[in-house]
Amino acid sequence: MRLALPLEKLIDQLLKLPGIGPKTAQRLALYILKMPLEEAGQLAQAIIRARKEVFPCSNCGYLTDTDPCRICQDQSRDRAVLCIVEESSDIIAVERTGYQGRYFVLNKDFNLMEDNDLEALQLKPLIKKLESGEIEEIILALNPDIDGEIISRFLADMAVKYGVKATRLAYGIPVGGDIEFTDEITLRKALEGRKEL
Amino acid sequence: MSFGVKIMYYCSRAIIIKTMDLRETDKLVTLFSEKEGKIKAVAKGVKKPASSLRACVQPFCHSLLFFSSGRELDLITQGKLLDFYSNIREHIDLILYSVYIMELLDKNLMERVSLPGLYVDVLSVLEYINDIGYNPLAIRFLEMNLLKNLGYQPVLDECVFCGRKGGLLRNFSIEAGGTVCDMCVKCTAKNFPLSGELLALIRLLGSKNLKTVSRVKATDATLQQLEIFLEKYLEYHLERKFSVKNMISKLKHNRLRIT
Ligand SMILES: [Zn+2]
Ligand SMILES: [Zn+2]
Repeated sequence: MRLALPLEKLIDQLLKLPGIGPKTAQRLALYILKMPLEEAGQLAQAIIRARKEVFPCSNCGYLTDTDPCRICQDQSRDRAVLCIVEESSDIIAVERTGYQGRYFVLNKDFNLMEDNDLEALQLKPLIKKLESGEIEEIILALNPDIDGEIISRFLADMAVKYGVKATRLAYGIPVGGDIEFTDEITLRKALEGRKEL
Repeated sequence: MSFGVKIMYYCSRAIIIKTMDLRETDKLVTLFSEKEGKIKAVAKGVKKPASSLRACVQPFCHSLLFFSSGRELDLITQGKLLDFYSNIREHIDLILYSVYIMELLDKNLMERVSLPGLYVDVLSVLEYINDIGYNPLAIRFLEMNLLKNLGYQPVLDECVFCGRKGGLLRNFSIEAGGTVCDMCVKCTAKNFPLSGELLALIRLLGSKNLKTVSRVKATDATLQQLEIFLEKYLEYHLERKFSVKNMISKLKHNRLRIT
């Protein structure tokens, strides 16, 4: 049996979202159909507005509706420390730790095996910052996989050329985790990065 | 629950070629298995912090994996890490060369074609790089053995056109895949010139094991010629450009364009 055409179109659109399969798309679409018309309109409006008004900060790459973003405008934050992340969502995570430095978002899917290149990373703004002499340390907070590793080592080499210290997040066992069930790679890295008590 | 479809279980040692994000916490893993050749399989829940599979499916890890056959894709059900090559992971150039090897496998191997000989070669090269470090001959050794295993073993002891043995073989036809004698060279185009040293090195790459090959002393000029030769040979017969190789050379020569 065929679905009503507008419903089918809505499902098709929802299917484009990451992590949404056909069943979930259908459930969400049916839920939207049950919403009061006003609420559905607000949802549609919110999507269009966010899409139109939010863009990456010209200074750090964080998603913002003011340029520079609020983090870059905040004079109380430490200008000498720059935390480098892969995506805006990583900033949200690091912000929760109370970190008080600034950020730089690479904002680029880098996958070496899929014919990507370090040239695609758009690093000019970062180099300008390194050149300015304002930065004393970059903290590399990239995902601990092969691509993150390659970019981290590359950026660390670059920072050193400008006399800037490069650090990276430590590997470790998650709080509340279980040593017995920790994989051997993490455990080995945690052992290497052990701290004196 | 399945109706009439029998689920098969199997296990194999495997080298992880690459992973791609799938649904929420799953990854699609491309791997080179000893028994089944290159396959794609799903590692479920592998992005969760507690996943015991996570370490086993990192690129260029060597793992023992257990599979169950699925309707479309097989599932990796369990795994045991055999080698993580921790020294490689400490150096960007070693990482890049290892990723290049994975790229060679990813782009050239057919799925479900078992190549146990090549499997041993890949392992020996990863082990070599991890234990001893970078050696261009180790990479060339793998390129040559990849070609051999895919049916592109070059003819090196006679003229590929007239079959004449003996005499000087001073050229190589990339298209015909073999050495060319001085008589035939006049009527063929686009030949790759071979020095005696280069020809000897190419012969060695395809016939000896890595241990022997890695000990060979060759001049920088010959090594460079060998690299260009294999690059052209690979690109002609396998019709691929290798992005990682390209990036390694840009990094090495400081030619990366920062945008
Ligand atoms: Zn900003
Ligand atoms: Zn001939």
